Amino acid sequence: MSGFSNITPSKDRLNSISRRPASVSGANSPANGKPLKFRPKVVARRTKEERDADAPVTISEPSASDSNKQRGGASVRGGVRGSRRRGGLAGTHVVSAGPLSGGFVSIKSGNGSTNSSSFVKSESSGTPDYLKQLISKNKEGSRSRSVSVGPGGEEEEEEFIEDEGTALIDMNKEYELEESETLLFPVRAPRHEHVEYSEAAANDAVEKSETNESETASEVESRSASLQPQGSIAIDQIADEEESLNPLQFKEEQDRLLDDSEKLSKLFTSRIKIKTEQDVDMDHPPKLDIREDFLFFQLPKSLLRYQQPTEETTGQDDNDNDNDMAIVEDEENPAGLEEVKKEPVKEVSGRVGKLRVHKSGKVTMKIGDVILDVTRGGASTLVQEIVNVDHEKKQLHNLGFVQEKVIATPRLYP
Amino acid sequence: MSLFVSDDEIDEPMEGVTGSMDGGYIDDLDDPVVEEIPISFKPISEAELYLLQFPNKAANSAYAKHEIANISDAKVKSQSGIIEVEIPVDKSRFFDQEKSEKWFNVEAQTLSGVSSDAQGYCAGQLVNGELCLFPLAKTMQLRPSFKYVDALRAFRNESARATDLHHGPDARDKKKDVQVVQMSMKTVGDNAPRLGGALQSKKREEEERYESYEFRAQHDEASVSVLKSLRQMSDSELRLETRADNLGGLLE
Repeated sequence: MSGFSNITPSKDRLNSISRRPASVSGANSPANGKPLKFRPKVVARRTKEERDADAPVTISEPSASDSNKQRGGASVRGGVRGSRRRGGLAGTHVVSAGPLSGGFVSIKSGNGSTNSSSFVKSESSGTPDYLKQLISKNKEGSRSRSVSVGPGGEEEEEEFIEDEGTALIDMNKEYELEESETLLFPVRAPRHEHVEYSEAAANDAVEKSETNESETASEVESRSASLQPQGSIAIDQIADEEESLNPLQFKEEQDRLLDDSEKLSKLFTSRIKIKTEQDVDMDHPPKLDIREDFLFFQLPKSLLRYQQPTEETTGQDDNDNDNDMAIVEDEENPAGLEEVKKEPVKEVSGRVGKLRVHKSGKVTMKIGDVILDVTRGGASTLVQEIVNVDHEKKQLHNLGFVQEKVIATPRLYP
Repeated sequence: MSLFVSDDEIDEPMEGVTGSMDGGYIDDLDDPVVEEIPISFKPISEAELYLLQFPNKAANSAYAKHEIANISDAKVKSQSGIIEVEIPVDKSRFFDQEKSEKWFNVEAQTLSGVSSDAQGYCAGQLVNGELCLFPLAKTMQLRPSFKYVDALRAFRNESARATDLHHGPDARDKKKDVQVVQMSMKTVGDNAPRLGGALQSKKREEEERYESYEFRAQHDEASVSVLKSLRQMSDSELRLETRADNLGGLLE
């Protein structure tokens, strides 16, 4: 302990930090007596020749024959920086991959070019007619200039002389092509802009004030009023489940639900209207019929167990509960495959309930005595179709495409 | 705007009627039923319905549907639940003949997928003001399969091996080597445990042969007649087992 107390609070230890100039400078200074100072190391500026030697090599004047390769290939791999035509990209969103990347895609009009690295494979099939039109449009402006910043820092101007038969697609321009011509163009994923909750609320407020001023104000009000009860029921449930929702999220959720239910009810009611029109027009009812798309329903899997309506059930009334779909199928199988083949599967069908469109726009189902809330499923952007697989005839029948997904959830709250 | 309001007014007298039809549920008092659509259900039919999804085809593009209508060839492995379809490629535009030749003249896009059982899924269609529900047997996604790439690689390996065996400097030694490898494979195989689930089904799939099926487009006669017979519903009521007092059973 005494040894410890003898140690004075070390001045030396902190010398380097605080007291260097005052108390210690004399003892620790170098031989010449001057205090130490931080002296930044000065790097000598290199001469222009040295800098130029290190700078990446730029090709100043490409020949006309490989200009195609330069623009098509390099811009795809090197991105924007590799492109010499930066001026043309002003105000555009640059796509870093794909046939439209890097600003310009040039297309040779003649057949038989050997340049296979170009992304747009026009060589083997020839330039389509609609792109040939672009060539003629571009001819007057075939001399184009571009500005790039050279390694020395000064701006260098480059001048291009384009091929006679080369079409330039300017990303800043909007070309009007017919839909049939763009069928094989790449599809871009839809872009969703993220909106912060506070911003969404602000936008909403603005929208509301605008609609109130407009002529449709009363319509909007009446609709929102009529939608209120449904929203409140659904939202109460959400609120119970997740108290963590902040008011803005809560409102957003509510809006989305209202929007969905409105779309759903329109889906069903508009379809019915089409139907009634068809009934009036007796000339081509079947054609219109077939064109209709399917809806993809998701129901509780055990909901649609049914009791067999025919006489067969009378013998099995005692084990009523097991009389579901699976059992019915099993009954037919022990009879032997041949028998099944002889007479076709006995079709079972019938009314099971009702789909109800409410005044608020909400849609519910009543199947048996169970009430189900009907909501929209996630929208999908891919093609979905209903196909009948006929193993006997070895045929696949496309019966129609699927339009919307609909989810029915049994209602557990009173 | 006035139209909307008047619609509601017209609807109001109807509510009383439908409300009473429904037996007066609590929710109906708050939010009366405006329109009712009967639901018909066909749990058993001759048709075996599949939901096919095409992840690489955009629903809003007319061309995608055109492509699907033009499916040229369909092959099915019914035991393993595999469907493979071929969609011919438009060769007039953006088609690289060189590449096609490199892959032994690929001129169609091959899509294939494995089906999985669908439970609780139905295809619904409104027919004459009635919602018809048809249960789906399977759902499946048809994705592009690049088997032509594998074919090229297999071909290259094969030809490389062939040249090695016949023209290599020590062709005989190599032949021996191959044999040794085969021997060791055999002994290991005897002691090895049986194939697991995934490998087993893969093996089964490889052993099963494709059966060629005929693809009929949406408006083809055969498809139309299937759809028609599917839509024939009996008017009688189909009693369901599910009751409101046993809702817990629905959540299995």
